[in-house]
Amino acid sequence: MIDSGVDETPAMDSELTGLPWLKTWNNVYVFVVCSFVLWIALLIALTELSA
Amino acid sequence: MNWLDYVVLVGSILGIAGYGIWQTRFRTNLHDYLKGSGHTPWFAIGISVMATQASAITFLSTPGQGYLDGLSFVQVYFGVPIALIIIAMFFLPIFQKLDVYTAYEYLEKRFDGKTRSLGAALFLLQRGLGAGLTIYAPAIVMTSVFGWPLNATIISAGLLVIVYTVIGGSDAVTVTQKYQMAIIFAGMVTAAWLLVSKLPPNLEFGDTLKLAGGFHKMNAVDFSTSVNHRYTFWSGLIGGTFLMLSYFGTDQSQVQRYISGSSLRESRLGLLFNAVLKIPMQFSILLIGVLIFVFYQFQAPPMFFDAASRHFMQSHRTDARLTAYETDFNSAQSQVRTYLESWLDARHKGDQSSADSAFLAASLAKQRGETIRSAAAKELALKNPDAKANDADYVFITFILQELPHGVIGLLIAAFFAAALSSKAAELNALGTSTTIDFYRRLIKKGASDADCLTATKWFTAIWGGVAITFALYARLAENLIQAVNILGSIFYGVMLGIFVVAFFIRHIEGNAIFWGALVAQLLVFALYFTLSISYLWYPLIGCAACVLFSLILQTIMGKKQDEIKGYAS
Repeated sequence: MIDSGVDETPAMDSELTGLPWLKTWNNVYVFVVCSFVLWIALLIALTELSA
Repeated sequence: MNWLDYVVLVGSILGIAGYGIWQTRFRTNLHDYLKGSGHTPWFAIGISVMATQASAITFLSTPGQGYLDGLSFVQVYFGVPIALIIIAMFFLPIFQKLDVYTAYEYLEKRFDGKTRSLGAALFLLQRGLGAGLTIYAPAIVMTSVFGWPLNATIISAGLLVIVYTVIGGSDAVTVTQKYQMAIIFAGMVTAAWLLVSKLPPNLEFGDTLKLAGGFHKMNAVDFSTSVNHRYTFWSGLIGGTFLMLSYFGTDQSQVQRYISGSSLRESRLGLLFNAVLKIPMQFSILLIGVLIFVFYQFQAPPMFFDAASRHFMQSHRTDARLTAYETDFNSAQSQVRTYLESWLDARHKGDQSSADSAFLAASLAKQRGETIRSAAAKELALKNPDAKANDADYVFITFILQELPHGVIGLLIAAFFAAALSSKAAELNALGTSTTIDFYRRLIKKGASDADCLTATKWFTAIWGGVAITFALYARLAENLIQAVNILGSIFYGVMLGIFVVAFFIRHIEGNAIFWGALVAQLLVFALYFTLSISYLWYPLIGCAACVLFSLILQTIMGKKQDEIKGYAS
């Protein structure tokens, strides 16, 4: 956790993502990582299939 | 280009700029001018971050990279998702809570004034130089292709962006970027659609992949561990993460985009929108280049796409050697087409052995064509040093002009200009803001009122615009344009990132240690750049690591001078 030197408690609206399927920020980060891994896998498959 | 293209080009570019001015004409408050009115939603922030990074050269040069080197350039962007998650988790909450105008304000709160000045100076230096490139790059390509006067193109595009950025500030940048990106996407999708429709009707999806793969254009991922290979999985993932972390986390032109969100949530979602979409976007642009390569295996490609080389060839038809090269090249390319048609027939009939031998013959003919082209390029360079046969920047524009209908040509040229203006506007906005907030208000006119600072920001924005135009008027580039911009950034970004990494994560390091550590690290990066031949993607990592290491050593030598370290670190 980073200490900003100011208010340590994030505002409530910042805690909520407001997204229907990804309600917490950790879920959003996991989604981004999963989409990244999926893209890498697709690109590797494309490289191998076209060789 | 005909009248329809000019109507589309001028109408869309001036229309968007005029709309931006109209929407933001009443920005008379410093906070609103620098950070927007505070109502910017995440989608607009996401588009703005994307538009700031994607300049005209992204759309002009990247398909050329795909044509020449295949998909390998996509690996540069492997660091984007990781970097943006780190920024969303750690950097952004601090910038938002401290309500800073520039990223470098935080450095004074954490360290001292001179470290803030160093961070801001590094930004102004590298972004000020880069600003010239982003306006020069599309201008040189357009003018050499269309014969427009180079200086007039640079000056008119530069003045247009200066006018709406100075009048509307941060909101003008965001508002115009939204519509500029719409033009860009419309142009690129239309070009891709028409390109696919122009491929031979009997060329199926699987055939296209095999053909491009057979000529090593589908090499999207390379696990080589050699540091001399410019684009590999590792240089992209590790070096690219540091490059992107530096760019998105410490470059004011990006920081100013995402701190303008109405809340932490909007800013975070805007950043993460890019984390998800950046790789597919770059992949799609590169794929257009690969498809243009496939297209030109069934059509006669020019020996050189580069406009200067082509003009020289056309004006020296009596030169027997050059004409012989061109005849031989066309003959080799004609053989490639014949063998590939045989390959397709055999492949569709299921005759694998005939297909393999036809493809081998096509590859050998292609190699012969490339050998002839290289020899012709050497001959050309001897006869005309200006004709550098630097094709990457000209492949896409040549395809557009030769193959696409009027109206679409205008749309794509408008897309290139829209991209140039969108990234330029964000740069000028950031340069003006940093000069005012980090230098003018602190060092030149202490205690200046908000009204003074607003006027000063407008003047500095205009002055930086003038600097960029002047630099663009005299710029000469060594490599292809997109690489030149990335290389310039990679030299400075590592040290900038190192300063912020120390600020966020190494609590006991003080101002003097980080200031001198950063300066020595920057000198080391300069020295390495001019002596080593490693991929430029590694320099942000080297610069960052050197900055952290030197500041740790210096802090140990200097000892702790302050009783209490300022509480802005982890």
